[in-house]
Amino acid sequence: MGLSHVTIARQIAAPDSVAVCDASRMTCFLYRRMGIKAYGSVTQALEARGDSIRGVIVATPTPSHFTIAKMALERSIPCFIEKPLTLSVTRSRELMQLAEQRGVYAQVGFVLRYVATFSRLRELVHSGELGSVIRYQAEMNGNVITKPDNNWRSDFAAGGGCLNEYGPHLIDLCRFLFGDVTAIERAEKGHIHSTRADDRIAFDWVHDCGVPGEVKLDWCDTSKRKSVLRFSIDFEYAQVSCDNSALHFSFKEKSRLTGEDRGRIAALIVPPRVSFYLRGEEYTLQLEDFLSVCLKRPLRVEGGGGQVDPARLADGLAVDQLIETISEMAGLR
Amino acid sequence: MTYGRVILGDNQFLGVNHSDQGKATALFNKFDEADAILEVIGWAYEAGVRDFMFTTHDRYYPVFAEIKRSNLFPGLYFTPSLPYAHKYANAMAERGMVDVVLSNLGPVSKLRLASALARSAVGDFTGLMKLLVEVELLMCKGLQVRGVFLLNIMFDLLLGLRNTKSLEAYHSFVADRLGVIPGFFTMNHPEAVKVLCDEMGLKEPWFCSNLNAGGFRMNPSPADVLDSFSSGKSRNIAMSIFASGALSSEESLTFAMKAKGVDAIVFGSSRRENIEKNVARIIQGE
Repeated sequence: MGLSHVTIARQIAAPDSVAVCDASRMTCFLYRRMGIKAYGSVTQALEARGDSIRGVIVATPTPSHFTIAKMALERSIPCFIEKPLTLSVTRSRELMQLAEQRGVYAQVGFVLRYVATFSRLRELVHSGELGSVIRYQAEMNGNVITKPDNNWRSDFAAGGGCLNEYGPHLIDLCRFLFGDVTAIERAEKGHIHSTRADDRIAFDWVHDCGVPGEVKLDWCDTSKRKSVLRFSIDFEYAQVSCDNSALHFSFKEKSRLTGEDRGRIAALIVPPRVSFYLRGEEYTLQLEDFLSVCLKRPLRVEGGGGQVDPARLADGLAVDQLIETISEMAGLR
Repeated sequence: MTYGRVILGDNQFLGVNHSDQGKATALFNKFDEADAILEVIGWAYEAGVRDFMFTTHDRYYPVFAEIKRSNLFPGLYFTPSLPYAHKYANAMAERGMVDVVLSNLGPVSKLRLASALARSAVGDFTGLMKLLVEVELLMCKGLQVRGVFLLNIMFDLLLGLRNTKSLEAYHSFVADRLGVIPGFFTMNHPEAVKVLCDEMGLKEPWFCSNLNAGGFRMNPSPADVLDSFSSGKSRNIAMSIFASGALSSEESLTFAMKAKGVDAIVFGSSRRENIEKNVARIIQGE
């Protein structure tokens, strides 16, 4: 949603230093009425502002990501691109190579990396405090499609279906937590209301570190009021479940962790502080990271949390590639 | 008009729990019935609470109908917080925007909608803002309303965009036309005070903001928020006071009660003993 990007960016950088590009004349007009500089096209903005542009945030519909990001990267302007990166692996790869050649910073909007509970989970996976990871399950459920539809959302080829909708978030998080995926072992789709797209999809895979994972996505789950993403991880010393609000621990008999250790590990998580809160800390944090590269100064406030590993173009490409393979195996292509 | 020291909130009824989504879902299902909600409001009322602050969720229609029909809780004041964004988002995905707007209009004339839309098309959102308030307030007809609060999802957006015209329109509409207290939820209290008090010149506007010993959602820093609460420029309702990690509920409450500039405390709970205990503490004061 472009409006929230504009709001946060204006609040972080100086308000006058943020301008909007939108193809709709009406939208441009409304932005101008609110006192925000608006251009009808990227070309126009580039002509008008040229060398003074320090960064570009691409928050347009996915089909236009490639063209806009390319224009910026070719001019060596740092880029923030909303997920999913592009709708084709070839184009995603082209963007990544371009950024590498130019040595330009580019970030992908996998915002869940900035959710405090998932950052904490990653620390637990990496620190070995709970022993090694034996296996995990990840699922994302929601009640998005409630009846048969006949629009793009029910058409896999047009970017619809549960894998396209939920997949990027969850797949990136799995890579964020456990690293690259070596092999996908199984992928099965299920239909409930949609005939040309998946309403459910399940796949099993193994990461390079040897950890196996089972992933399930379902956007026709009527028991859910909103979309819920949940990990259940079997560590050597504990069973851990985690969603975007909390971590729950069930310590195992054989763990030699003291009561004090357990208390520290299971301590309540306070989300990091942000310079301006709009709709969840994670949205501000990811733009603070991007804009700090553009503006060449640190932007995190005190208590703003540790360094997060922002998603780069290589991550966006890896997710696109996995989605492509999964969809082929599940018979969606 | 002003708020009592203690206000009953409604996160528990809507399944909002910032630290546990699982519990939140269980509560959302539990309060599917009007009776369950009425029971909790009743506990708070008996304990001495005279203000109920709620989000304009559809599940309150039968609750309010029963309160009016049986004249339950005389002297209880209601403060709707709006807009309940999920309502519109879900309905829009199902039925489309035009249908949602028209079906939510109720008795408000379509002519006024047309005029408000026409004005918003030229960048004047004030008409739309007033219409939104009126439409959302329909569910409170026949109830004593203390104030109307703009939820942070909308207020912080307008604040970030510096859309002061819409904020002014909302403030004067609620205060002058409806004759009740206009208020704002915000997760950016210092910024809100700076813009509304210092830049727009509003006199002591009401804010509802997080204030807790753990610094949960106190942006940009707990110290800044405590400072702006105590600046005397605004009237303040403290919320999320129990989100303090290591502290007991007793200590959390003490922290919020001792903080400067706290005019009222809002909290929600689905447990009778918690409600009674906390209300008694807040009412009797230090």
